[in-house]
Amino acid sequence: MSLENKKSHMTKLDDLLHPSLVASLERLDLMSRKMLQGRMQGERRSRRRGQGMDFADFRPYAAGDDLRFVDWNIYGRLDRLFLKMFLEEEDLGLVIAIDGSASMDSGTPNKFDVARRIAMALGYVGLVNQHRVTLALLQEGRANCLSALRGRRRTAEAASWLIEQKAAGTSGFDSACRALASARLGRGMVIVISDYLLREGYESGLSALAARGWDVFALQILSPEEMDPRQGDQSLDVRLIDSENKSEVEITLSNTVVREQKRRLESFNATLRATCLKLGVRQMTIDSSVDYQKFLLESLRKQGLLK
Amino acid sequence: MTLLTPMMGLIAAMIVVPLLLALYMLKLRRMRRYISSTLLWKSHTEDVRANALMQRLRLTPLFLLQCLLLLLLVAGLMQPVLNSWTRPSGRIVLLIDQSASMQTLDAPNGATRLDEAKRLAIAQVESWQGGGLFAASPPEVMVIAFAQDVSVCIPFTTNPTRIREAIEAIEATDQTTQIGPAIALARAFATEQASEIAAEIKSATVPPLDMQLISDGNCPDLGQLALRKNETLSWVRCGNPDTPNQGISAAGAERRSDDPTLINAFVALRNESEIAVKREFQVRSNGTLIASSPEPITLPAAIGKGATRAPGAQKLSFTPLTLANSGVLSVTMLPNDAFATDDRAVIAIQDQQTLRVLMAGNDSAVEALINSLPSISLQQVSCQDFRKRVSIDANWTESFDVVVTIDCELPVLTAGRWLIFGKPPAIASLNPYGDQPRQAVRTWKSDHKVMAQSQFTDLVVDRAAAIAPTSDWTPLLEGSKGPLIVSGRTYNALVMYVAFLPMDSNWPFQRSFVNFTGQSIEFLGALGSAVTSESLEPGATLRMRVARGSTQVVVTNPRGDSVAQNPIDGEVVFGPLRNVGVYKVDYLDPAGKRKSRAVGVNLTDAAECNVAAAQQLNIPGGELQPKSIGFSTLAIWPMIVMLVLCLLILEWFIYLRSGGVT
Repeated sequence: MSLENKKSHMTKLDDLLHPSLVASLERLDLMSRKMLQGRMQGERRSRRRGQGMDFADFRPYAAGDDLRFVDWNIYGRLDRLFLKMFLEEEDLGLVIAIDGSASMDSGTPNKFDVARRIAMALGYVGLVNQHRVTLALLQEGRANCLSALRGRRRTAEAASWLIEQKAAGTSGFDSACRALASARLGRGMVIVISDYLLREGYESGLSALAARGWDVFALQILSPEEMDPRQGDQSLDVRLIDSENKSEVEITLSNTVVREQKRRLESFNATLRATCLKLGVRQMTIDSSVDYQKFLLESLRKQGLLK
Repeated sequence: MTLLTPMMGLIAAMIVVPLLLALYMLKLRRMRRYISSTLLWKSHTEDVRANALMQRLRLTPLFLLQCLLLLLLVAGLMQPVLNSWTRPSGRIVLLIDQSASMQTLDAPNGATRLDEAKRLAIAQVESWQGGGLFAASPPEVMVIAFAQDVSVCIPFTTNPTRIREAIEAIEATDQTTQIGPAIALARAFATEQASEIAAEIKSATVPPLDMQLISDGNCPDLGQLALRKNETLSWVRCGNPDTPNQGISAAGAERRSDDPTLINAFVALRNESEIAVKREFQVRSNGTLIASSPEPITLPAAIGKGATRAPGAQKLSFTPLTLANSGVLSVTMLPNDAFATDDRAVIAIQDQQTLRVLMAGNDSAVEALINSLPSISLQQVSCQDFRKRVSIDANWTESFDVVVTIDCELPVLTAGRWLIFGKPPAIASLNPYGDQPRQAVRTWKSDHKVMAQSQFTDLVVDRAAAIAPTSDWTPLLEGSKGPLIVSGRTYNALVMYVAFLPMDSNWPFQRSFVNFTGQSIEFLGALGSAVTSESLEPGATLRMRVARGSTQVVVTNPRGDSVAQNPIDGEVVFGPLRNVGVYKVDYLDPAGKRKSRAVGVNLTDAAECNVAAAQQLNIPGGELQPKSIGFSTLAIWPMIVMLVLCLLILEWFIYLRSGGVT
C-alpha cells in the first residue's frame, strides 16, 4: 500500500493503521539484538534468571535458595547440590521516538505522517505482544512521551496521542535524545524516526541512547523531493527556504547542481550509516513514498526488526 | 551584398545585444520554495555568482546561441540583398518591348511574351516595393512601352498601384522594334526631373539612371546605343531562343494589264528554322476561300550562322484570281506557328482607277514614258497656257493627281503634287542661284521609294539649276556640284524637283529614267493601289487621297475601332499603324456617294519576324547577358528566418539536454 501523495489529516485510528494491515501485524513480533531485562514478566526472554521455560545455567546451591530448582539428578550422580537456572520471560521495553521538528512536516507524501503511521504499526506490534510501548515526540530539545502502554487495548490511546502530535519548530535532537535516555523507561528497544537532516548533528543523541543500553534502530525518512530536487516544483531559479530556521539559499537547479546535491545526500547518508555502525545502531533509510505494507512486512523483517 | 537598412539593424543591435548581456549578468528573480532543510544546499558555491547583483559573464552554449540569434535578427533587419538583386534607390526606367515579336506564344502557360514581360515587370516593381516594415523608400519607376512608337505609360512615380495599372494597360502592337527613341525619351524625362531635383537641392549632381529592358532582345538598333555616364542598362529576357518561325515575308497583287478583272497574287515565304518544314496556304477574297496550295509547300531550312545566317526562302504565286472590284485578298499559312502575326498577309485591291496627270511643257521622252504607264489619263498643255489657267483658277492643279512640268517658270506653286523638271519653282527654301555645268552623280538615296531599283552611276548632266535647299528638303540625288533631285513639301504642295531637263543629260537613255519617272508619278499620285496593291508596314503612316470636299471620313482599324478623320488638302493621314490587317477608310465624296477604301498592313520586317529570343545583347562596349527577376527577388531575410528557426530548435534541444538550465 502506498502512501497518499498529499498531506493527510489524521483523525482516527484507521488513518494511522489501516484495518487490512492489522491482521498481518498481529503475526509479527519485535526482535531485539540484545537480551534485555524487563520490568514485568512477559512473553520475552530476558537476562534475568527466573521462572522461565528456557534453561540457562547451573550454579551451586546456597543457603536460602528455593529447593524447587535443585537438580536432583545431579545430586544423585555427584552428591552435590546444584541449582537449575532458567531464563525469565519478561516484557520488552519499546520506545518509538519521532522527530517532531518542522523539517518532518514536508514532502509528498508528508514525512511526519509516514513517521506516525510507522510508529503506530510498530507500536501496535509491541502492544499485541505485551511489550511496554512508549511513544515519544522529540521536539524543541524535549521528549514528549506517552509511556508504558501494554496490551492491545491501549491501541486507541496510542493512536489518539499520535494524531494529536504536530511537527513544528526544531527537534533539539541531542537534548531530546538525552532526555529520553534519562527517562525511567527501563531497557529495551528504541526506534528513532527522523530525517536526520539535523543542523546540530545526530551522533550525540544516538550515542546517548545507545549508551543507555538500548537496542537503537535509526529509521531515516526522506521525501522524494529530497532524494531528487527536480521533482515537484519545476522552477529552475529558486530561493530555498528552510522550514525550521527560515534561512534562505538562492540557487539555480542546474544539472550540475542537482548532481552535486544528490552526491551530497549520498555522502550524508553514508556518514549516517557509518555513525550508526560505530554506535552499534541499526539504520535504515526509506523514501516517504515507499510502499507502506511492503516496507513493514518485508523490509523491516529483512532488517531483523520484526519477525 | 548590400544592406538596405543598415541603420535600423545597428540601432536594434545597440539595444538588444546589451540587453541580452544585462539579462545574463543581472541578478535572477527566483521562485520561493520551502524545503525541509537547507543543510545540504548551503555550500553550493556555484551560485554565489548568480546571487550577486552583477555577475561575471559565463559563456554557455545557450548564451552563444542567443547571441548568434540576435545577430542574425539584426542582420535580417538590415535587409541584406545580393548584388544580383540590388534594390535600387534612385530612379528606374522599365523599358517594355511591345513590338510584334512580343506576341510570340512561347512564354510559360501558353502566354505571349508581352504577357510574360508585364508579369515580370509587375513582379519586379513589387519586389522593389516590398522590403518589410523598415524598408527604405522604393525607387521611382517610369514605364515606357516601345516598338516603333514610344509611349510613356507612366512617368516617374513610387505608387505601385499606378505602376501596375500602367503596365497592365500596355497593349501589343505589330510594329517593329526600335529601342533608340525609347532610351532617348527616358533620358529626356530623367534629365528634366534631374534638373528639377538639382535646382531644388542646388546641386549639379545628376542621379544615376537605371534602365531595365524587358524584351526578347530583338532590337536591331541596340548596336548603335551608347550608354552615357551614370546610365546602366539591364536586360530581362522574355521568350525562348529556340523558337522557330515561318511566315510570309512579302505579299502583293497586280491586276493584269490584258484583263484588269484578273489579279496575279504572290507571296514570299521565310523559314527561320534550322529544319525544312511544310506548310499549306489558302487565299481568300473578302473572306471566301478562292484558292489553296494543292499540296504542302516545302520551306527550306535557314542556312548559315551568326551574321551570315539567312532564313530559308520560298516564293509562291496564285494566278490568275478573278477580282473585278475592290476587295481584300488574304493569304494564310497553315498551320500557324508560335508567331501568328506573319502567318497571314492581306492585300487590299482597289477598283480600277485612272490617274489624271497634267503635263505642262514639252519633252517627248517624258511624255512617251507617261503614256506608257497603265491607267493614266494624260492632259498636256504648254507652259504659257498652264500659267494662264492657274492664274484664273488656283485650284485647277488640285483636280489632277500629278502635275508634271517641263522647264516651266512657276511663279506660284499652287496646291497639288508636282514633278518638276528644269527651272526651279518659286520656293524660297530651294535657294536657286544660277546654273551648274556638267555634273556627274556622286550619290543617291537608294532607300527612297522613287529611287529604288535604279542605278545613277552613269548619269551625266550637262546643265542643271544650282540650288541650295534647306534641311526641309530631302536630297535624293547628289551631283558633283550640288543636289540634282530633291523632294519636299510646302504648305499645300508635295514636290519632287529634278534640277535638270532630261534632254540636257544622258538620262533618257538609261533605265533609271524610266524607273524614276514612273515611280515618282505613282508615289505622288498614290497610284499604287490602282494597279498594284502594296501593303504597308506596321508603324507606317496611312496616307490616302480622297476627293477634295469629302466628309465623314472614318478610319477603321483591324480591331474594328473607328476614328473620325478630317482630310487635309484632300489627303487622309492616319497613323502610325499599330497592327497588321485591313484598315478601312470610309468617306462621303462631294457628290454625296458613300465610298470605302482599304489598305492592307503586313509585317514583313525580317528582323522582327526572326522571333528567336536573343542569347545576349551586343551593345557598344560589351555584351549584355539576360538576368532574371521575380524569382531572384527573394530577399535574404526569409533565409535568415529559416536559419533563426533552425537555431531556435537547436537551442531548445540544448536547453532540454541540459535539463532546462545553462
